Amino acid sequence: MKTSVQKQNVTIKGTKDGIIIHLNDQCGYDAMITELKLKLTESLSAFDPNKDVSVRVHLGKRYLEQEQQREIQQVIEESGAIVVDELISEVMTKKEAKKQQEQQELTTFTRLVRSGQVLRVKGDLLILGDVNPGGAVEAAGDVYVLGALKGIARAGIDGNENAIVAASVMVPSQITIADRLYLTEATRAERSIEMKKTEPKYACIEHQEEDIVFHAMSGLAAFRRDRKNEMD
Amino acid sequence: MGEAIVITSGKGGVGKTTTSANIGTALALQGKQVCLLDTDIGLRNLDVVMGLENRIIYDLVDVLEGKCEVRQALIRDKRFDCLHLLPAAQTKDKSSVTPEQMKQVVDELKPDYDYLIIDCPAGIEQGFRNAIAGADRAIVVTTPDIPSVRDADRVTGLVEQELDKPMLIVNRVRKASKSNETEDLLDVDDVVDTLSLDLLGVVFEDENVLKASHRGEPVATTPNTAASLAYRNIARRILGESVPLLSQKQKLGFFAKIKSLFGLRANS
Repeated sequence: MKTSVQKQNVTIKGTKDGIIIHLNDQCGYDAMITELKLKLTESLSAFDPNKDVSVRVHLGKRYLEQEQQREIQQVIEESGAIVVDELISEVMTKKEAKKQQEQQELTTFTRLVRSGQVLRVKGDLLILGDVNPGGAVEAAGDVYVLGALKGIARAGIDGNENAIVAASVMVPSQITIADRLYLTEATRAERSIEMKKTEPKYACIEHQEEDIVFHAMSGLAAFRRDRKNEMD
Repeated sequence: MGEAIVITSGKGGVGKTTTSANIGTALALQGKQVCLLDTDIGLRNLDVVMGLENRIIYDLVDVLEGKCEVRQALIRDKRFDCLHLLPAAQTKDKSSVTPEQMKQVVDELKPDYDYLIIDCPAGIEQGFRNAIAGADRAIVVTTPDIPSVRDADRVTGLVEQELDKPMLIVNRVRKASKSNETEDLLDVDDVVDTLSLDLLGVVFEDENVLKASHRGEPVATTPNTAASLAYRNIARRILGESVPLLSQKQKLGFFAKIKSLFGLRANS
């Protein structure tokens, strides 16, 4: 290391949001790890050994493989009573980006989903048409049906409990959200009456409830706001 | 060049064969050149409904195996010179025919006829694939009950993968004698709503249909029965005429009753 101005590869800062470790994204990975270990030993005295301190690690524009992410986390957590809250990188692989895009995408189908047909998407799903008995629609995100939902809808199939199923006419035979299942107990006669007078509804999982519950669409804005606040 | 129309339903026993026989007969009554094709290999019925079972010499499988020419296997109807039947084989099963072969036969017959009516077997397997392979369009037959509508929905989805949106015939509709009786049954509107298909016709439950197939004479040949009129109207709609639906007439049942009291014909 003969550079005149020795740029620090690792800086540890205390901010009002907690401790942040900045890792330089221009240096070699091994050099960074070595320096990280050194810096952590030096500044260990600054941490209270009896209390778990959580830190956030900023990686800049460095991309880390899963294994490397684990290594950094291990290095930091081994050095004392520190817990890594989050590894923040400005970059991601194309594959991850595509996956993320798919998860956020709304796919629209303008058709009737008939008995025996299954539509599945990775993001949110919008059906402009009915879902007939025996037909199924599945999404990793939300399912919206602008029509009558008479068949099966599965939302949050990858485990997202905040997913919802919304329909103009809500007379499903089955709804699944994450791992919860709703089976209709209405008789055919009851359902055919419901089909004629029903208002738009959405189905969701509520924290206090064991089961999937149905609400009028007007309540959806509040539900979304609450869930967003919880996540932040 | 004729048009090949497949009559299908998914579920068995809803009246595919009866519908095929009667639409074919009604089109022949209109002076069209019609050929009926029975694709229900192993369980053929169309020949029986038409009363032609004793005249079968060669069948569809014989044609495909090259034992005879298509024209040798065709049976001319007793009543109409312009109505022919290509019977299915009774000794083989559905797997002895492929969709490609079926298409070949249909394409060979098409230039000689105005309409080819293909009677499809129940189910959605090989027999169904064969039946729709050569068709230009499809008619889905259903009865107004939940199992049959469910199957019609399924089969419509499969037909739509190959052909345009099919037309719908609601068969064996019962005329409600009391108003409360209708709540326990699907009405024609419910069926049309669910399937979201264009309604080609409504055929009311009529014991004359059963009697006619017992005699081996399609009901369409008998004058003045409800079912006969329905089938003849369907044929006219296939030919492009605009004929009011019988179901609309049913709502005017009161007037029709008064008319019939005075000995006038209720149906126009």
